[in-house]
Amino acid sequence: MVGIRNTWANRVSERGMLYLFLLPTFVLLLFLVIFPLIWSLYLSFCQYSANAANPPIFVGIRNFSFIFQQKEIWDRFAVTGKFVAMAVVVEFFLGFFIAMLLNREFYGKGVLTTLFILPMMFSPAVIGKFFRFMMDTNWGIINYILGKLFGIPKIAWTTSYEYALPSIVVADVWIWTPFIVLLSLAGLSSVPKYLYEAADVDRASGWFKFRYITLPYVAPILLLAVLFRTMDAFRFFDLVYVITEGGPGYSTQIIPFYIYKLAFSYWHTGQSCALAYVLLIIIIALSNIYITYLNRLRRT
Amino acid sequence: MKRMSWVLLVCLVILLWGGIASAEEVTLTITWAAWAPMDTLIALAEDFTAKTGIKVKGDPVPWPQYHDKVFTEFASGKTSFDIVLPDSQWLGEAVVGGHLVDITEWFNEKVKKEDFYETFITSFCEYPDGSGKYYGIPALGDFFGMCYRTDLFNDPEEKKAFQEKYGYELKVPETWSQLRDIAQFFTRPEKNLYGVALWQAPIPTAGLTDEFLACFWSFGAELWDPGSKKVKGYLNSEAGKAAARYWVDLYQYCPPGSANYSMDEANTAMQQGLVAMMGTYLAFYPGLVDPSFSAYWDKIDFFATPAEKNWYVQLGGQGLSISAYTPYKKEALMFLEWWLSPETQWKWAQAGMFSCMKSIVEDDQYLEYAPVNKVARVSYPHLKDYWEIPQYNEMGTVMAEILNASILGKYTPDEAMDLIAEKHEEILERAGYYK
Amino acid sequence: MNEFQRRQVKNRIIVVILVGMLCVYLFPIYWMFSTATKTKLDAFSLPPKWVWRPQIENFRNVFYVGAGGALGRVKGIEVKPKPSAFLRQLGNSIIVSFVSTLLATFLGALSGYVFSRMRVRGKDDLLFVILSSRMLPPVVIAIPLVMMYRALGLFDTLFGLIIMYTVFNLAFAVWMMRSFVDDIPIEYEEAALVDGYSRFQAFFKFIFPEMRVGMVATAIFSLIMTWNEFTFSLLLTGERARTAVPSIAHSLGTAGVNWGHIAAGSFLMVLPVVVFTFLLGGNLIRGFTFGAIKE
Repeated sequence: MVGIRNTWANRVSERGMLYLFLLPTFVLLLFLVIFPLIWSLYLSFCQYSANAANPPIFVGIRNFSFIFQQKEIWDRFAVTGKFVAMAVVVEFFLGFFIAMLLNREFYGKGVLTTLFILPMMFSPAVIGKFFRFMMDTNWGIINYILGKLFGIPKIAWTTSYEYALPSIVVADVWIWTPFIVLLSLAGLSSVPKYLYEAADVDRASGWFKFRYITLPYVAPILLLAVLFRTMDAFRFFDLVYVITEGGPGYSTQIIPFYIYKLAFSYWHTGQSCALAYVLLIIIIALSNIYITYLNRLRRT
Repeated sequence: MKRMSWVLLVCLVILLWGGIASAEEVTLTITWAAWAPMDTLIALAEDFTAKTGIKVKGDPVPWPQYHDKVFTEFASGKTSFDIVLPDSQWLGEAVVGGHLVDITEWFNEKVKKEDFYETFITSFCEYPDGSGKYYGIPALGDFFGMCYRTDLFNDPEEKKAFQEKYGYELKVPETWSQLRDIAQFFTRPEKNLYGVALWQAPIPTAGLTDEFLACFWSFGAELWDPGSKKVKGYLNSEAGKAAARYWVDLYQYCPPGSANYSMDEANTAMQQGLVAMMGTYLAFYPGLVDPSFSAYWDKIDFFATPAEKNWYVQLGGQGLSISAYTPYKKEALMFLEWWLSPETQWKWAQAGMFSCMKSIVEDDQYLEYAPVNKVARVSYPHLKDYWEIPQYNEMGTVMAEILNASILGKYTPDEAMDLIAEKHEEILERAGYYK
Repeated sequence: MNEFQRRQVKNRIIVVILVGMLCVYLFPIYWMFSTATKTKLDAFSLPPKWVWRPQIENFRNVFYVGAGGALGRVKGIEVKPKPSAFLRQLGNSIIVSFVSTLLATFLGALSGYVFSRMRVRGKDDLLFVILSSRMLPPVVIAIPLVMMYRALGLFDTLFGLIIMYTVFNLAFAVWMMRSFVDDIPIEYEEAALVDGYSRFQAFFKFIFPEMRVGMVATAIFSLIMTWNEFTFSLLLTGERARTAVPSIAHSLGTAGVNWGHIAAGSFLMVLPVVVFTFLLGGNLIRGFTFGAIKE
């Protein structure tokens, strides 16, 4: 007993421990997240180019009004929304469907599930590049197979107004459907078995079981999955960057990609910070829905 | 616990490796695009190392990332490279930011300007034009040119059919109108053959703008009034719109889905025999005549971009400049001096690379070094480059995006040119050129 | 046929459907592998070659030729194949992702414990601040970060990238570990406190080992995220500290699109993650849901 008490570790008070444990985390956050955020808020009110030697000049809300005066910016917001909606909806239905099929006992279930989540381990930037190759109009394997099996003429996947966005969505779906599969499986396995057995005794229909037993249990998790995917879809632009580079025209320039271009190709640092803040506000609004929901979930 | 100690051991090894990897020696680092000229430059630099004992290392960056990469480092105030080969139009952007060493004094002492074609001096070395301030020396005299399939063009049957249809002989086109006829003639979708592959990607410096401008100028149009910087009435003049109409019309003889073509895709189209003609910066030629890449390596030859009312060729290429953030300025200048020596210049030319030196280009031996050199010689007097102001990137992007939309039917060519002119004036207005 | 048999048959049909779907779904991976083992010209040939002689040239080239892979015929001088930057970049990837994963997991374990067990003023707000760093689009803070790194000399250093990735994963690690600590019975510590241990000692002696499972799950997920990270690596590094992903993504030779090279690089990149994931096993679902869902 004496050994325990006589070390310095024994004299660390609970308060001290709290500070000791939280300090590194918050120092890092302060240094690499909070501080840059404040700085970028300041820059969003300045006329400034990080490439030039001139210091920032405060210009009020001119950057914001400039952004919203461009009529193209609304196209970019619209395409961002469309991309997020399309990707999340397809991933949701496909992922849930696969999870429903996987949710039973059979030999090799583990291996099959594992194989289904393999795509998540690839880097989106790399896999996007490869999808661009497979979707090439003239020597892509996808056009070849479609042509051979169904006689469909060459489709300009990544370079036409109709298909460019869907092409990005396909790649996004390929990478992130497994995410929905995983979550749905977790939700499905949480449904108590006895409910189904009781329903069987009552000779309830498959639809009835799905509608009144499965869905209520799975719905919260599915909503969570959707929120996660939505937020991530807003955050990253790797896929657009490698698959369409924003084309045709500027039709697939989603907002984060446009911010990147504003900041690092045109060097409109102030304007890019302003637009970044607009995007951030949208995402915070969405994440608030998530937080509220999460808290409700934790309480029940 | 056993597993834990394994994890710790692995971490230790990794950290040690990190320590070794970060121990470095004094070496000149050169950054350039990842392409054959870079490989050649680094290979040649062994001579420099042999002479001076200074090691030289190359940091190749893929073309599409090259600009953003270099300028992100510039903006960070610390560069991983000592010598950089900025694309001609970046010069203003880099000089305004103070990212390149002003070598005027050294330049006046060591460089004989009259040895080089004047366009290269103004584009790669001097900023602003006519100021007498120098930031680089000429390196690679690149330009937009074209290539064609000799087996198709020289086929007697094809020649006969072409003569019947168009009333003149099938040969390398001298005007853009002829190029259109030939492209139309060879467009045979049922045989998976198309007329011409061009850079059409909606991105600047590696996309549509570069290639379109050669056509645009040759149609007699101008980007702006260089004095007042007014764009309206110049870019969207009748000549400018005629060029845009031509360009959009020509797209029907390009391979389907080629609206995102840049250097890689255009090269691939030629290598795989998808097209009869292709336009690119000709410094990309080695991949076309290399049997391990190209199925038609022995059936490809090169020609200059055609004329129309005028004859202009889009300038490309890079000069050698020194990063303002290098600790090895003296060594870098030694490298530049070595580069300018006739011996190095001849070796460079012998390796099949474009020289900027008049005496080399005009020597008939030069023509034997590479199949593209004959094109270089006729193109050089017609070179022209676009905006060299720091806003070029935004202006080029606007042009590429709108024209790209136009070839896909979003705007008519006339609307597209009006729109580009309007956007360009907005950009220049914001940058304060009209004060 | 009774109920049981009918179910058996139905299950079998579904498994067949699943396997069929899997074949379609994993086709890109097969195609990637086949492209990686074909020659440059075969990779483009249509109709595709379904039977070919596998060759390892592409894998070798990833390590040997510069990122361009553009060794054209250069006359007069010999262009020697040089070791490419890939090996160094792979080394960087390994160092950066493993160190930052360990750091994030460890710091996450500490903070997660505090948030789970101790009373902290403004806990919900603090947790939200942490979470918000996960919701942040990287481009929002990219510009000030690049400027900051420039001022502090952190640009293009492994250290700079490591702390960035640590923060990148920290939010996730804190939330994950908090949910794992929630699951550890509080009696563990109470017993230790009664024995005279301080809270601090009790944590390291009894709780920390119990958090192993959670830490493995957190580490795997952090590793996948860091290993594949693209934006920060592109923006915060130059030639020295660059990791492998941005360069593989763009290793298009200008001699023509070199798909075999990209495919081979992608394969080499994904292997360590797959191996690591399956060796350590672990709780992927929790990882992907931020600890909000327990398996």
